[in-house]
Amino acid sequence: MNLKLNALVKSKSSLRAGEGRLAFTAISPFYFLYLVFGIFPILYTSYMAFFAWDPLGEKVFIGLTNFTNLLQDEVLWKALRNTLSIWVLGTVPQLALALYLATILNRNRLRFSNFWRAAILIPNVTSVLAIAVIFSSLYGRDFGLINYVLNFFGVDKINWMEGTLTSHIEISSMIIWRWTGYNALIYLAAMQSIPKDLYESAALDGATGWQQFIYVTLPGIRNVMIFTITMSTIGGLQTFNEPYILGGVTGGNDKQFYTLAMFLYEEAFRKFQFGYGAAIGIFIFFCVVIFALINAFIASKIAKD
Amino acid sequence: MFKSIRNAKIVAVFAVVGALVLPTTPASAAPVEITLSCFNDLNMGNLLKEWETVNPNIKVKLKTADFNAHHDGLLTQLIAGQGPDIACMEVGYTSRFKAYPQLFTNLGKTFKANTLEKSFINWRWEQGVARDGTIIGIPTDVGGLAMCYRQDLLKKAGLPNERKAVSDATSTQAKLTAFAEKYVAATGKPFLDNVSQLFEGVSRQGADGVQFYDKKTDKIVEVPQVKKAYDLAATFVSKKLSAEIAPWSSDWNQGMGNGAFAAMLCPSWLLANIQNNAKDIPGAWDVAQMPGGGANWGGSQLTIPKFAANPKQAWTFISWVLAPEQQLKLFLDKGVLPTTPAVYKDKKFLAAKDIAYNNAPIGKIFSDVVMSIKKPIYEGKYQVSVKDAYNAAVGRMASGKQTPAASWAQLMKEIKKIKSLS
Amino acid sequence: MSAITEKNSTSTSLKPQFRIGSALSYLVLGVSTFLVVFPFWWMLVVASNTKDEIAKNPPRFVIGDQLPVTFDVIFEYANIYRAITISFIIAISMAISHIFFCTFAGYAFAKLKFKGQKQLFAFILLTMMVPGQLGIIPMYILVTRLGWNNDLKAIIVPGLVSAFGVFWMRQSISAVISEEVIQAARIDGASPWQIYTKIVFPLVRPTALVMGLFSFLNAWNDFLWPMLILDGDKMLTVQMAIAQMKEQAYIVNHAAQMGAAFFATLPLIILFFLVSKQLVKGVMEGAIKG
Repeated sequence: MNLKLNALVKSKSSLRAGEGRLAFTAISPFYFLYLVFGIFPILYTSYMAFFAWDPLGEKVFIGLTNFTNLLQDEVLWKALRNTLSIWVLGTVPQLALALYLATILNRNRLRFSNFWRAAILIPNVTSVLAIAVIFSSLYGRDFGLINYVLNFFGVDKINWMEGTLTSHIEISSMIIWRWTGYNALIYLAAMQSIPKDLYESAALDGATGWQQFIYVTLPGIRNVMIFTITMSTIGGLQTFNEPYILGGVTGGNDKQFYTLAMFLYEEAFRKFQFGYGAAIGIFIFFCVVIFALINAFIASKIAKD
Repeated sequence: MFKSIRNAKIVAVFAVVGALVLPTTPASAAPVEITLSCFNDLNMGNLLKEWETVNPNIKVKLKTADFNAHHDGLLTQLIAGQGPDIACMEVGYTSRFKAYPQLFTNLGKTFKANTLEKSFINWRWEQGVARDGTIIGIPTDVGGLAMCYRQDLLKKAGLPNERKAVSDATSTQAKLTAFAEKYVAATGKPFLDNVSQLFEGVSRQGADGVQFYDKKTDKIVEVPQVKKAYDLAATFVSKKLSAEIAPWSSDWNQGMGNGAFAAMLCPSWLLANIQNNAKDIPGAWDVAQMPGGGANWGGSQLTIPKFAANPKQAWTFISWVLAPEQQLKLFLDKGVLPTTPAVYKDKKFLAAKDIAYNNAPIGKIFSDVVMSIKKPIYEGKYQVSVKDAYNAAVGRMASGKQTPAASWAQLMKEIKKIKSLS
Repeated sequence: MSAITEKNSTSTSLKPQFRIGSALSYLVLGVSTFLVVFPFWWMLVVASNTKDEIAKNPPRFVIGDQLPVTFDVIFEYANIYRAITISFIIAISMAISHIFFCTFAGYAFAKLKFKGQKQLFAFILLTMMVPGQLGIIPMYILVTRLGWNNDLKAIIVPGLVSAFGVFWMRQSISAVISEEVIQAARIDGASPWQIYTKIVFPLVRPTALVMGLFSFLNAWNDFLWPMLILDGDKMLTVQMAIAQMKEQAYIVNHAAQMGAAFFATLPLIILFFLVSKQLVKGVMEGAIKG
């Protein structure tokens, strides 16, 4: 016993040092690479925002002009509204559905579980280009399958990509299709780390399936839920691929599905305004930070209950 | 072999230039690989195969990418001081890159490309020349815009369906509108596929060759022809003469085969696609002149970026593949319209009839269109963005989102913003 | 366990509920799978029929006979075997690197104590929030200065670490590994390295594997960056190959594109079936230990 205590006391200081060294080894390769390939581009981009920067020509220092112009640009606020709308329509149902799918896949006696698990990941694996062609044709105004079916219910032909809400629905449905399985698997992996005896004791206490879900599953995957919500926020506010491929680079003739990221792309790569594009990038960054903080705040509030 | 002295001269020029730049290396040298970066293969599949036998010392690697991604990727590479050996750029994009001639090999100075100018259609040639006179690109093909129509549907509607008759009946904007109205009244179905192409084509028919940019001042301007084109589009929409099916959508492809519209503006390179979508109705489509005369849709230039690794070899290939003989082959093989007018006089070219299009002499039809375009449209640095704004305005008006007047007002606001860019 | 619950007074309502719940579960799974598989099936249909068959309304839903023709077109336009191999090399390197580096770094942030820990982690989180598109230009300049043009290094090296992965593993590790387990190991005299390799990693392996899988997927799906770097002839990824399926100027050959997409996805699905078995194994071990 005494020996053990001695060992404890002795090792505490060397423990700190040992841990510190290990931590250093663990993090430094990551940080080094990250510094070069992750942080340098970001710093360079921020630098660009203070210039009128023509990528193939000259750059002129203009201080905060890009930012003041940007905040007064009505296109920015439209893009922000579109981005938020697509994000809500795409992320909320997606995460809820992912959670539900994960609980189903988590069942002990599920048959063919391997098959289901692989199946839900298929959407994420298929090429976005190919899928966009399929979704475009499904949502075609005159000959698309969806309008064909809706017609049976007396609904007129919808020109999906023309309208604001309808284009958001089409884009969100593609995002949901593509990413639900992905998030479901993240939840599943987390759920499978919850000790089974917690469920047993809950069942013994008479908890129903639903109650077990609320009181055992959810708290158990709380960290991972925060993770997926944060990642969905970060990803959602930067949505680019789906609207770009479905609807083209200009985001619709009234910019009805123009997202913040598309705005950045068009300004920088099609209008040669790198400084302005960089300013948009910084704006997006601030939006994401604000949302992430709100998320974290709400999440910690829920945890307290 | 030489159809005329003129032809011989042209071939001689190419031969001399080619000889000047062919590498004079020993026969056992390793083949040089050059990269050709484009948004599609420019239909050169067979020509590339032929090149392997013509010049095995220069291997051409083709790299393709999505249309926008290709051009934006080129921009990224140029910024970083990189570039493929040959970069193709579509005419809508050349104006942007032309604003920076210093990023491209000066083909005139380095390879005496200015001697080739006369062999090409003047306005197509101009699209590869920067404002300061630097020649940065050589034209590949040209779109030429005609009007494809369903001669069987017109017949059913009691309208003239023979090529000349249709061209005459639709030769002006007013006549076209009246013709379309007759069709719609008779059949209850729309006449045209959409108004966006109509707008683009007609907006380029200004007598002085001005569309969005003034050539002398290099500034964005508003000209009556463009407003006329817009109003024509508005008329078509308000009288329901257009089906308003978006180009390249699946609805559009299907529409070609199922009679959703009876006419569409078509460049030569679209003909095969129309046929593919209308396999069940061979000979139903025919080709007439487009209202108002000539216009253009598409075409590219081949450029050599300044940072190309093998500019000499690149030029060797370019001068071969764009020579009239190869352009003729491309036409006979794939229906791609050449930019070298010498070809237009070739017997084979004139004799080419497309069975699928009711035996229309497409060579003659499209070359007539192309040759009738006299004034090259000057395109400035922000051509793409201005064109996008105009197209968006037409789109908003066509889909009924805004009245023509409101859409135009919003457009003017957007143009003002673009004008303020340097 | 079921014997005990059956004896409870609430058990009579539990059993039928479970059955309905079970039926509903299979229904949801079935519908989800259909929604998921249908586009995939549709790809095969487009790849194996001629253009006009698809353009009809309603179009053919059955697999046609044009597959061999489509195959020829695909191989004429792009070396699909090579593309799959290269994509595979890139994706596997990233996956393994992430499983190694990110789990390790995530452990450091979750369980070890060192100066500036919270700030460094917050910094990583912040950097994830900056949109990627603008960063492409400076990255491209950097990479070409290093001479990595048309080299897989330009794709793999920047992707060796991932903030996403570190974040995920940190969350997982702090949820799964309790302080007591680590303390017990310390008392037993284990060094911090041993604690990591013998206790932490095995426990968190299922999540690490899933993260690796996702790293693989992200690398597989990445389109823009490889397109800038690689020349598309000898060096190309699957996504680039699919984009290269063209028929004529300005027009895309849908059959070839769909065919390429379908055949590019197939090896991945096979891979998943293999990996998911591993996942189940790893999970069982974790459950027994935990």
